[in-house]
Amino acid sequence: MRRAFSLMLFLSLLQGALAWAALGSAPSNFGAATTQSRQASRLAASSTGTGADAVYTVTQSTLDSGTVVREYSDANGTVFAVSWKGPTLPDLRTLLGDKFTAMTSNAARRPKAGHSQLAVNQSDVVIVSNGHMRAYAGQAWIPGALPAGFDTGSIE
Amino acid sequence: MKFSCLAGAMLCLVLAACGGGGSSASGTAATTTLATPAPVISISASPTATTSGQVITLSWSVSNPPSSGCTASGAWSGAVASSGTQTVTAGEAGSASYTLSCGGVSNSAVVTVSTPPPSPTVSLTLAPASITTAQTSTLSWSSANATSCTASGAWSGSKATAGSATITPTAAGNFTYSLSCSGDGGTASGSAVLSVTAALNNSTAILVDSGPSGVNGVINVPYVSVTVCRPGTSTCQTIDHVLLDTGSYGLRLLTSQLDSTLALPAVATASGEDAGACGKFISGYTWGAVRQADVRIADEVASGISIQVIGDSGASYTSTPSSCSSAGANIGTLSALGAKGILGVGMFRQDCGASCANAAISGVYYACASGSCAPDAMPLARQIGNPVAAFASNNNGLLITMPAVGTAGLTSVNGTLIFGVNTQSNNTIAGETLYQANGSGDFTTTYKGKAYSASFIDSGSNGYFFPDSSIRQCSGGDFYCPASPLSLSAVNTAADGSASGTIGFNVVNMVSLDSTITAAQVGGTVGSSTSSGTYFDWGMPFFYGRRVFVVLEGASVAGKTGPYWAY
Repeated sequence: MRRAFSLMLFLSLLQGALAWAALGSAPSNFGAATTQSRQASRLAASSTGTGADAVYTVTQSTLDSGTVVREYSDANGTVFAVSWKGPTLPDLRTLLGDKFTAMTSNAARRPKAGHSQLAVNQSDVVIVSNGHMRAYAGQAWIPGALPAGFDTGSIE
Repeated sequence: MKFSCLAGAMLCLVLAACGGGGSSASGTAATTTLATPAPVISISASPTATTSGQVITLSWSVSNPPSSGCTASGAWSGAVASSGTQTVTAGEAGSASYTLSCGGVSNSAVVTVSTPPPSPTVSLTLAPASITTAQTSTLSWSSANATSCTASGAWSGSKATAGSATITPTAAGNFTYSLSCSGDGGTASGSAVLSVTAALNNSTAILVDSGPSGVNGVINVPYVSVTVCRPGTSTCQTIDHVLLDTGSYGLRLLTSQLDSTLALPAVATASGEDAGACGKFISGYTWGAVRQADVRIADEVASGISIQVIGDSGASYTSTPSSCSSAGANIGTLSALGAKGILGVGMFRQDCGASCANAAISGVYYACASGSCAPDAMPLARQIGNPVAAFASNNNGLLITMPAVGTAGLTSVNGTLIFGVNTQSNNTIAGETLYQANGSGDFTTTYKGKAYSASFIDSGSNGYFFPDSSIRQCSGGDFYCPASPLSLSAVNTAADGSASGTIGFNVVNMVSLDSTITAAQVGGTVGSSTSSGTYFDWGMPFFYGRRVFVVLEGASVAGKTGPYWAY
């Protein structure tokens, strides 16, 4: 399903503490752990053509390593999906919130474990992490929290 | 007085005193020498034809020599005895008259002197003049004014007057290549000396097996042995079963596998504190110290490079920063890693690069003191570095060769890791195609009509990892368990579009493999079927039956600058 996005773009430069959202929670604050300036864009998108509107906000942060983190939050401000792409891995504990343990426990019980791919596909969370050192990418979302009509294939 | 000689090369003999007697001088002389016989001069030259610079022998005798003696003139000079021989050197081209005058009587020997043929010249060059036994040199030679050449010394036989030859040494030593070339102008000789030193052993074995003791259930994990030494000393230890990983950069060793006597020195961050490092892999993290070591594999040595000592027990590194453990599971144990360490030999020279040198990037390098660590900048030279880039030679990349593995799999496989690309006879790109990677170390794989622009070749991934919801997954996910072996194909395209090619590959049922199989054509999912992944991970099975070259970033080989793969 393709949809047309109507975008409202807000650019702001945040100095100091950056608000990163935790998956499944309200936006959280990384506090003093990150002190670099970052650029954030906020996009409000709505789907058209199907009659079902999906309204959500995307917060984009560029870490000083160059890694881009996107967080998708619904109308209530709850983050339902996150993604990352770039030369360093972001703090997944903060980014995934209480779903972080799903990733670590899944990795521990994998048979014939590999070293470059990680896929968690549970009813409460989907986590996809892949790439290699200096080029990481991943996505995570909560299937039950997706806005109606949201296509996870559209997560950048 | 000029004489005309009918045959220029012949001796000209004129008896002036008896020659007609018409001159007034002769008449006068005749009136005064009635009682004395006129001198009779006989002079000859040998040879009568020669070239400039050659020796001519003059022989003469005078009958009835006058008391005033005889004088040489023409092409020679001075007073000479009434008989004798003398050698002279032929002068410029032309007709040379050697005249002898005795008491008013003269006679000459005439020699025809021609220009000599030019002397031959010969030159030899060796490029390069100094090689190892694993290299070749090109011997080029040329000559002038020569019609034939003969080799001697380290080569032999008749040679063309110009040419070149490839020299493949069979032993170390100094070898003199001499060449003697002859022509009408003589013979010239030249030589060149080739210095051959014993080649470094630039290769080491790769073993795919069931892993070190204490590890279970590994598949498609390529292991190598690595020797680490305290810098500048012979205090060394060889670690076996280190994972060979083209998807990471730098050497990471479990502290539990290192002898305490190694006592590798700590490395400091930009701020001067003990450096801690976090290695982040998709499956988890490794936390530990940055320490300095000489790293040796085969005869190649990376001197004084930074490595990670995973789980280092030093007081500075006792607590794992949360921004490191936030990468997921701790894989810094023998059982979790499935290896005693990771040898990262991918296309980049450091594990982080310029961004970590410029700023304190969270989650990579830390300044540690008394168990408390904070992110810090790390100069490039002190970052955990790809050992290949730090070798003194064969440092532009590597070649991995592995035997083929069929759909039934194998219980163990032996391959070869060869350092350098196009530096020795055993690491030359032959029929392989060059696939440029982008700045992230990726290229594009197109599979079932979809292009995955962040695809890569990774010996540290133990399968082909790609999205295909039509292939049945094994229970528990991750790997594919098709009912029968699948024959699939994909197209890889260089990041700069300069090359593309189709790869055929198999995926077999992971679960139905015999438990003793450690090398197999297995694959797995890269994530949810509804995600928009951009990765096709060509893991270890890709290497089976191939020669895969890795050329480091910035290295120029075969007319192309890395990072690139060739296979």
